[in-house]
Amino acid sequence: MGALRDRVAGLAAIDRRVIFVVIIAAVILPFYVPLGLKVTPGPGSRRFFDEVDRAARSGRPVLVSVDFGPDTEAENGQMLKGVLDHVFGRGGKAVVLTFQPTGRGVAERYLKEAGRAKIEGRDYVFLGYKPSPANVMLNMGRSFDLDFTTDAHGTPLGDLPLMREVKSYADLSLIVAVANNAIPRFWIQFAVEPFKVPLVTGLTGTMSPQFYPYLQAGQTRALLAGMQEAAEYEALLKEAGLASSPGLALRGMDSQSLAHAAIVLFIVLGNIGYLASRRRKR
Amino acid sequence: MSADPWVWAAALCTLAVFSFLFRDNVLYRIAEHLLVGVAAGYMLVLTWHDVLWPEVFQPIGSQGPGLALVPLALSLLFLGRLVPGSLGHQGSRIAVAFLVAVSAGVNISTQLQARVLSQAAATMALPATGSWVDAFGQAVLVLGTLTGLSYFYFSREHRGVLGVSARIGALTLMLAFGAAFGYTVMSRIALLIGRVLFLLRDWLGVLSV
Repeated sequence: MGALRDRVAGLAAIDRRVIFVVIIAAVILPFYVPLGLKVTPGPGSRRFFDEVDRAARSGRPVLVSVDFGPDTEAENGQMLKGVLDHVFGRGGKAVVLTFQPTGRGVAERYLKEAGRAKIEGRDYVFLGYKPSPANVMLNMGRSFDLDFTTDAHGTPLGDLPLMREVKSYADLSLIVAVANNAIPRFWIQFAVEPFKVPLVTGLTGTMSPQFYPYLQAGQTRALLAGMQEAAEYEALLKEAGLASSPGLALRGMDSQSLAHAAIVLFIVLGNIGYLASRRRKR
Repeated sequence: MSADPWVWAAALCTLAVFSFLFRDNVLYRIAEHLLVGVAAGYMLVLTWHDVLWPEVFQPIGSQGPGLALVPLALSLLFLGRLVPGSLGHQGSRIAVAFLVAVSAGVNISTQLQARVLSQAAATMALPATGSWVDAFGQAVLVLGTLTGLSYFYFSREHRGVLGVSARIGALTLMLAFGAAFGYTVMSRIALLIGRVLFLLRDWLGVLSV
């Protein structure tokens, strides 16, 4: 009985390297042996889909703020890909910019892929990277010309047919902020509140809990949280025939689920071990 | 297996970073230093190409010295802080004062509206629909907000009614932290999935998803 209790108490001190190996295995295995778990879109991803859909069909351009770098591409990348596929798939137009230094390369790469059947300058414009989001966002409410004289490639805004339609937020149908940081909070503070422009956000799981109060207050109309809701959005795009290629989020959900199950198992085992060791000390 | 040298560089750096899971080692530190160096170099080039050249030097070159000199002068004043005790060090206070004043001016009213008034209004708003579920949710929200605030009221000892309220507030905060932890786990696993896919698909070519 004592030996068994010792063994159970040992669960509280599993070598961390064992945990790492199990988690890695839980991530890799489903790519070779799919679990076939179904991804059912929830109200959050449906609302996001509806907002982007309505904006893309409105005839007015959508502003996409790409505020993440390669570090969180696994989460945010699928959201950005989905949004661009969605807007272009509905015949909409997009103005893209970034306030994150590492977002420049990422934005260009996704735009190039999603917009390969589109014409730059007419269907989409990439304004590049700008520092100091607060001032730029306030200025954009009055006129884009105040901060942007050219696009990211040095073409004057006046030479871009799309930018002749877009002078300020009033000419946009929606702002979509895909981010791994607090930039969407700037959008709320300096665009949504003063200029009443609608906003939806796609955030990493880490950032999402901080933004639910804004969702509840209607300051962001919809919120995609992490890879799970990115997968749900991807499923909705697939259903609507708007996904250009199979995305990572849906494929990754089996791995995500199995890894979560492994973590829950380790938490339970750790707690059993902790309780056993506490009893043994008494 | 990939023939692209940049994919190899990224894969080897990824493995070097993952080696830290076993223990701290020289490969991990090389990757860490490389990241810091590359990030600094990237920022320098980006700031020159996307900010300094188009916003400052190009306007000065094409239109002559005008308003663009003001941010340039203020930026140079900041560098005065690098020489303690000099006139430049004193002058840097002008740049700091300008920055603080602009930030305060831009933020005070907008911050109050976006993060206090609108949030307070949403907390006090009646449920959008007449359903019991929404009404219950709104009641939980109000109770959680008020008890959470009471937890941070330190001018009286947390006993009696205040003690009960602070306790409920602490539990509410624990629930919020638990939700945040759950999301963080999900986020980190997603990043791991991204890296694993890169190694297996883009580098080794043993996965076709």
